[in-house]
Amino acid sequence: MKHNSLLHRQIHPNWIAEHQISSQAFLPTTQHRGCLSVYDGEGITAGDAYEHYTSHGYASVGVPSVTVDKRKQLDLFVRNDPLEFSEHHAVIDFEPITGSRARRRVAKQLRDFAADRGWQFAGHTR
Amino acid sequence: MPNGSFLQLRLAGARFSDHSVPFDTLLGIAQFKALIVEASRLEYLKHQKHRKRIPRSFSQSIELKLTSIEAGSAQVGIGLALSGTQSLIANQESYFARGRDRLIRTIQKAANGEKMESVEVSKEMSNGFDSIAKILEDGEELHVIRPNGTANERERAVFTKEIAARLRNTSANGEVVSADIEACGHISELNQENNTLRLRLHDGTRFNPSISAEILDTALDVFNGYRRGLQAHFRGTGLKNTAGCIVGINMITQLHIMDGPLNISQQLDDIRKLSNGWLDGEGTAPSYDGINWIESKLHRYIPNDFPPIYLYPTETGGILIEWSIESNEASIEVDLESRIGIWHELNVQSGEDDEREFNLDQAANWQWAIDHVDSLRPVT
Repeated sequence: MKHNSLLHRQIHPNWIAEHQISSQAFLPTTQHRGCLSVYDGEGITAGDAYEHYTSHGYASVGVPSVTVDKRKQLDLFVRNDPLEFSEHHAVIDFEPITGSRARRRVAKQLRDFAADRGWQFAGHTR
Repeated sequence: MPNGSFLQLRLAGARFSDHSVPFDTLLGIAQFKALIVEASRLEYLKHQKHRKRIPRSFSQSIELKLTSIEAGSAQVGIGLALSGTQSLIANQESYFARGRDRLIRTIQKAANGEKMESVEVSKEMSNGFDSIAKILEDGEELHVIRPNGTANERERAVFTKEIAARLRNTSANGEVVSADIEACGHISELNQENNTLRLRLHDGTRFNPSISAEILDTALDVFNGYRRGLQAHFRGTGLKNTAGCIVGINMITQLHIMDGPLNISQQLDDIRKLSNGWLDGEGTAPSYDGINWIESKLHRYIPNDFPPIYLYPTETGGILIEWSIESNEASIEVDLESRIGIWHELNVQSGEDDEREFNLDQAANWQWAIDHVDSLRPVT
């Protein structure tokens, strides 16, 4: 991935309040076992990622994005992870980040980077 | 093959006026299986008096299937199918039919205000009704219909959030204790002759407590704001059941108008509507009692001129409170069961952060958090 490639993240409707995205939206959920799922912006636009995600029955209010180079500032590893679900699937690996404090810190920093860039595609907000 | 005429459900209210069934409501409708099984279990034990428990295969052998979503209406049909183990239990299908009828009768009784004994509504049934109530908003109805038979035989019951609250009260009514009460609600009526009012809580329950004369003026302000949704946080004395739910309010002694930042109650009302599986099939719904508890704490401790507060459900059934102030991101992750909060703050520019854990039943810890958030505000 190029350093300026965008990583598109879907935001669940329950993790936005008064247009403010929760930092939880940038933490891996239990079922994703330490990996934060994103779409690789080199292969798919934010709008197409939203359409793809919601067309599979998943809930999203829109797509903010962070650039690949931001992960370097946070010592995060990003890799492509093509799946049957989507060939553009990628992950930000939280596995090396140990402890809840460090994970909360990284999630808030990712949320801050994404908020600075703004919505790349907006669906419906709570 | 399922028996396609076991049960029909019809949703009524503004959200369903386009005659379609919102996808989110299907999660609540799925809760009917647990309710049918529990009501059937009670019917089985009622008719098999020599048995103390149901056979192991009783609940495993039932399958409820969505057999139809009728075109042009917000109505779904549910079919009953029994697996091959049915032969082990004589007349098993009839117990499930009795269970369904018991559910309908129970809702009818609660709707008619008929007296019911606590044993008629088990804790499991009450929990099932609560789960289903979460898909409904104020003023919406779920019609539960027995579809077979003649028109006269097609019994139906109308289920609402308020009826769920009544059933919850009935379920635990046998064990009620006097308690200090703290909650939030609207005042729809006020009688100045005898200092009583009509109070409506968020779960739809209504009470007619007395109020102290010294808070009558505040009560009048809340009453006058009823049409624009003005709410009050109050304390007083009343009754609670073993589940911690308020089942009676005798006297209100303190009353505060709620006009806090970003409407705390409105955000929590959105969270109250969640069912298990809210996070794309994962995600535990925060408990009713837990949300009531955190709501009362937030209204008690968060000042009106405080920075905007954002509330979110967590995957594990808790609440995440977040503040975003200049370069500072602060949060408290609240475990509604243990009432432990994990504080975390980060300055996104410097990268400095801090984390600590505290008991949110202790006022001093709330005060520490409030003072700390306050200190993050820019000096003007």
